[in-house]
Order: sequence, then structure tokens, then C-alpha cells
Amino acid sequence: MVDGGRWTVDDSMQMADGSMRTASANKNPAEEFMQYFGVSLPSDMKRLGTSYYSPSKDVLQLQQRIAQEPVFLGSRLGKEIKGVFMPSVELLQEATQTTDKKIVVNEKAAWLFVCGRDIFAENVLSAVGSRQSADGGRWTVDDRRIAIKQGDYVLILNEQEECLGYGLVKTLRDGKPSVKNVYDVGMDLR
Amino acid sequence: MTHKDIFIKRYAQLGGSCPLASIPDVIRVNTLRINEQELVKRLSKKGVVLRKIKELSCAYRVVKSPFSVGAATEHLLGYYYVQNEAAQYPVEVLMRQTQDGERWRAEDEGQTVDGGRLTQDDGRKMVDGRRQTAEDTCVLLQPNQNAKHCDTVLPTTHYLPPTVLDMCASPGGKTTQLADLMNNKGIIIALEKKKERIERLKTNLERQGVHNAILYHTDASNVKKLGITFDKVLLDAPCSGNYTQEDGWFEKRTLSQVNKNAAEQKILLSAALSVLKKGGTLVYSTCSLEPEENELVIDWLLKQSAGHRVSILDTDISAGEAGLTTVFGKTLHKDLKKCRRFWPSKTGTEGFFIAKVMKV
Repeated sequence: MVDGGRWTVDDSMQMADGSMRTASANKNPAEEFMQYFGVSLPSDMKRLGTSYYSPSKDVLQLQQRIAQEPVFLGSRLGKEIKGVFMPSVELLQEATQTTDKKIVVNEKAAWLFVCGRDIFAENVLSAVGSRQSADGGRWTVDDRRIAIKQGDYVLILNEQEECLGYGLVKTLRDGKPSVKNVYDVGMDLR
Repeated sequence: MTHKDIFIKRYAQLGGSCPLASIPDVIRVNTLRINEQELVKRLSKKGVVLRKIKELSCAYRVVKSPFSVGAATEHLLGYYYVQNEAAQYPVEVLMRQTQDGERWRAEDEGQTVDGGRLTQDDGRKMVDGRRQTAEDTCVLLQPNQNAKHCDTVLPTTHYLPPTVLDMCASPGGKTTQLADLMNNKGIIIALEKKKERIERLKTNLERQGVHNAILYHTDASNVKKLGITFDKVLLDAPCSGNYTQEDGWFEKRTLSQVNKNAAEQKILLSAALSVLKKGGTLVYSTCSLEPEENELVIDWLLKQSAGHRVSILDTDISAGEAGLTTVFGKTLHKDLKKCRRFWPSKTGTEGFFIAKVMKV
């Protein structure tokens, strides 16, 4: 849940297709995303249409001198399309610093992910609490440390640890998750 | 005589020609997102061969690439923008300090580029209480000297961030370039008239990490209604384009369309000058090769037909060639030679025209 507890597949906040439901609990999807991944909420978040912004003081001051409504205001946190929150590249990178719900995938899987594909467990290089051995063979799992469970949302990182989007953990065996693509940074260009 | 014959004959009269030039891809490193050398290293590892364009801040010609440069993770993450070489000059020219612009240099050496010493009321008052003057207003930022990830160090003289107007912003190549050269300081007011072009512009602003832009869906000819004035204005005007941009360009264009565009460009230019501060600079550019949309528009402006007193500034770039001062037998203002004209066959870029104007 976005109240700080677990967010599972049974949770009412989740849509049937795995995307984050957005019109509930008086929280907007940007807030839900940020709270889920532990990002501090900006005090001055603005909504314009389906997009969410965190404008600087200078930007706000100038905008307030202009009568017309803008369509983009300073720094965009992300947008909502058909119930799916599409975070900005910057928000994704910020979330990477504040959450353990993230996995690192190999180069091939990273590229396929930004082309809209899901992540298969064999392409996951590491997840917090579980990792593949250095020789690329066995996985070891520390159940006390593992941060990801089935039904969780996880950030998808490439080998340079750049966040490429997020997805929903469909299965988790021996610490290796398979992840359904919810949003990736290539989505806008497809 | 076909349309193509007419245009080719005109180009010959103007000193140009139009062999089908092969135009290389050019990328502009987004230093808001990544260090220039780091990106070059990453792309090199992937087999991309790049050659730096010395006259531009962070631009590279793609000599060879095993994949389309628009289809790389680094592009999706906003580390670079695919932008024709000629199209990168207008913003560089706008933000570059020229001899004519020396009087804009900030005299207060204690100013900081983060705007910390400006008061919060209107962003135009100095901390000591006096009103900011033209000499205080530091609207000029040096390419490479302010971008946080570029290799060049900050100059000893610091500048106050400007308020810049980008009149016809979509798809956002120049808006994001402005934000990069401004290091996300100051404010960019971006305008776009066509609703269908807004989403792509917003996506590009977000992807490139722009924080200092406010975008309005409005016709730039109505810019005065916003009620504010600007230190700098970029008018990359809607135009006829040129033959390097699309197949069959010659068959799709007529001289009457060219003249119609020129009329619209004059309206936009007049609107731009109405919101430009005295002493402020404006860059007018098009990707058209037609003099009616370029030199003749600026000649009209210099004859004060728009009701504004202006002077033409040197662009301080060597790319391209001097603007025309004689067009089809008509002699134009001599200062038009300060403008730059890019013939694709000579520059290996797309066609372009750039003029830099100061309001006096």
C-alpha cells in the first residue's frame, strides 16, 4: 500500500493489468509513485491537465504574473495516461536512490525493456537481498534482507544502474523476479 | 518551367546551387544530464564514431554508427538530442556574447548565477535595493562556461540569468538547447501555436531535464498579451523549409506560399520586438533558402517598417556565408552581410538563415 505498508497483487490500488490505479485515496498518481518508492514529496506540486510539475520559486513567480494558463511549468515529474503513471527520467533516477525495490538487468534485457518487453528472471543480474554469484551461476538469497515480493512494483536498472522504467513482479523464485513492463522510457517514442 | 526549375534558377541567381547534399546526423550533448566526455566514451564503446564540431558548444557529427542514433538508451535517457548542425547555431548566436553586447556585462562581480542575490519580488531588483539597469542585467551567458558538466570552468565574471522568449518552440530542440546553455537558470517562456505539436515538445522538455521553461499554447503573434518583456528572444520562424528536409520539396512549394510565409514572419518579428527590452537581443532564423523569408524580412525591419529601431549585430560565427545584400537586382541594407546564410551544398548542413538584432 502507499501508506507505507506492502503493495501486493491483491491490493485494491492495483488495476487488473498491473498498472497503478490512480483515482483513489485522495492521492494523485505522482504522489502514489513517489511514496511507494520513498521519494520525498515536493511541497509545491502542481497539476496541469494530466501532468504533474514541481516548479521552482522563480518559475512560479513569473508564471503568476501571466494571466494565461500554461501547459508546462518548470520541471515535470511525470504524466498519467490511461491510469498509468509515467514518471520523468529524473524522477526515476531519484527513486533509484531511495528504494530497495529495484533490480539490475543485463544489457540485452535492458534494451528489450525500453522496447516495451517484460523482464525474464534469467536476465536479472541482481536484486536487493538476492544476487547471482560472480561467475554468473547460482543465486543466493537472504530471506531476511530480500526487499522484493510477488506483486511488488520494481524499478528496472541497466548495468550502469540507470533506471529505465518500472514493472510489476509476476513471479519470484529463489530471489529471481520476472517482471511485467508497466512503463519504460521508450514508451513515448513508440 | 517546373517549380523545381524556378527555384533552382533563383538559387543560381543568388550564388547558390542545390546538388542533393548528404547531411550527416549531428547530436548535441545535453550537459544538464551527462558529462560530454562520458557520453562520447559510452557511444564510442558501442561503435559510434563522432567528430566534434568546434564552433558549437557540445555538438558532434555522427561519422559512423551501427544503429540509428535516435534509437539508443542514451537518447531515451535524454543524454543527447539529435539536431541538425545548422539548427544549433541560432541558440548559440543568441546566447553568445558579441562585441556589440559587451555593455551587457554585469558590473557587479558578486552576482551569482544561481540568482541568489536577486530579491524574490520581481526578479529584477538588486539586493542593495536599487533597480536593475541594463548594465546590471546580465543576459549573456557564455556557451560552455555555464553548463555544469562541460569541461570549461566558470568565468570570473558572473551573470544574472535572463528571461528568454522562444516564440515557435516545437519540437523543442532549441528550447532544450537554451535551457542547457542557461544551465536551467533564468526563465524560458516557450510558445507553440499548434496543439498537435505540444505533446512532443513537453516530452522533449521533460526528457532533456529542462526545469526553467514555462510553455503556453498560443499564437506567438499575440505574445504581447502575456504582459512581460524579455532580455532575449528567439524567433525560429515557421517557413517554407528547404529541399534537404523532404523528398519532393520542390513539387510541394510555390512562390506564392513563400510570400505568404514572409508576411507571417513579419507579423511575428514585429510582435517579438514589441516584447523585447531596449538593449535586448533577438535572433531571427528560418530553415528556408528563399530571400523573401530571410534577407528581405530583415531589410524590411531595418527600414523601420515594423516601427522599431534596431541594429544588426555580428553573429560571430564562421559557419555559413554572409547574408545577401543584393537580391534579384535589388540592393538591400549593407548590414545584412552580418547575417549568416547556409547553402546545403556549401556547408553540408540543411539550409538556414540567421540574423541577430538588437533593439535600440
